[in-house]
Amino acid sequence: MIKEIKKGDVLLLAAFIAAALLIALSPVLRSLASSKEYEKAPVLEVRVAGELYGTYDLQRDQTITIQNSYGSNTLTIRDGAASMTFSDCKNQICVHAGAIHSPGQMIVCLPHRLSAEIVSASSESGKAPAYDAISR
Amino acid sequence: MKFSFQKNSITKQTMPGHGQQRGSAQQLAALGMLSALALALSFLESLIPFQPGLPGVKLGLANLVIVFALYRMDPHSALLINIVRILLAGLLFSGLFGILYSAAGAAASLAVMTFLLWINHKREQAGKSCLFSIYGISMTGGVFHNLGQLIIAILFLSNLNLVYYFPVMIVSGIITGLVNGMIVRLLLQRL
Repeated sequence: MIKEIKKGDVLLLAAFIAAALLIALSPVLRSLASSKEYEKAPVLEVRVAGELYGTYDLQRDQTITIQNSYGSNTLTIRDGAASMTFSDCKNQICVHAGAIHSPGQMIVCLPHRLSAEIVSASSESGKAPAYDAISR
Repeated sequence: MKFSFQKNSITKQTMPGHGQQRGSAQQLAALGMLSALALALSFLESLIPFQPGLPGVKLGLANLVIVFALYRMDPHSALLINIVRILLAGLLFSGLFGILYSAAGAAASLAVMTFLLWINHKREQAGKSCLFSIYGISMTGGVFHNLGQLIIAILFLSNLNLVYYFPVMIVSGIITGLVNGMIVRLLLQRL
């Protein structure tokens, strides 16, 4: 089997891994470039079809029910972690996704066009910083 | 792009329908059987509780049939099998949304695999050796299947942050694609 592997295969594999690494590392690189980030408690941002539905404090235990024409979902925040505890979608991938707790993690319910992402409150534009821009 | 890969080194001319004229009864029977097999594998996959905690990561068993059809028959046959499989599996198991989702993946995957085979074919015609083996082609198919699906997800959710999910999908595509390639390689040897 090893003998059958061609030059093109290796090139393709290298290209894929390089692309994966590049995308995986890009948030790290970006945060290195803008090192001065405000340490703020992360919040949970819920979006439906790209529109912001609501922002929720992760420090407060709560249950969020999202009901719209796509269907019904229930998000539960407990001990600083959020999980999809109910969804009437067909594949239940969002429910199986488990709990998320750190910035950048997200739960997606594709059939309902719903995404819940944890963002650090400072990195989102127009929330924490009181100035328009920083020049260096 | 009308061509078949009859001269491919690892294909043996025993498959019914292979080398036959398009539209012959044998070809039709082979297409029907492979479509049924692809549908059955789609169903099997929906039964296996393979949930590694990463939504969207699947085995891609139905892709086995597509790679097999690409090697033993031709891209047109693979496309036909894909269309039948997606429509039937979509209506039976996952709904209209699932059809859109898997069609995007299948189209991207089939297009890129056909392209790579076409490069191989051109090189063979020019008297050079193949640039890609079945492992590389199946792997690329797996990766592009996942990329196509993720692009649909990004468009559908209008959430660009999902691009950070690309690495997961690329790596899972590499692994499942390679495994599929090995299985198809064994199948082509024995059938």
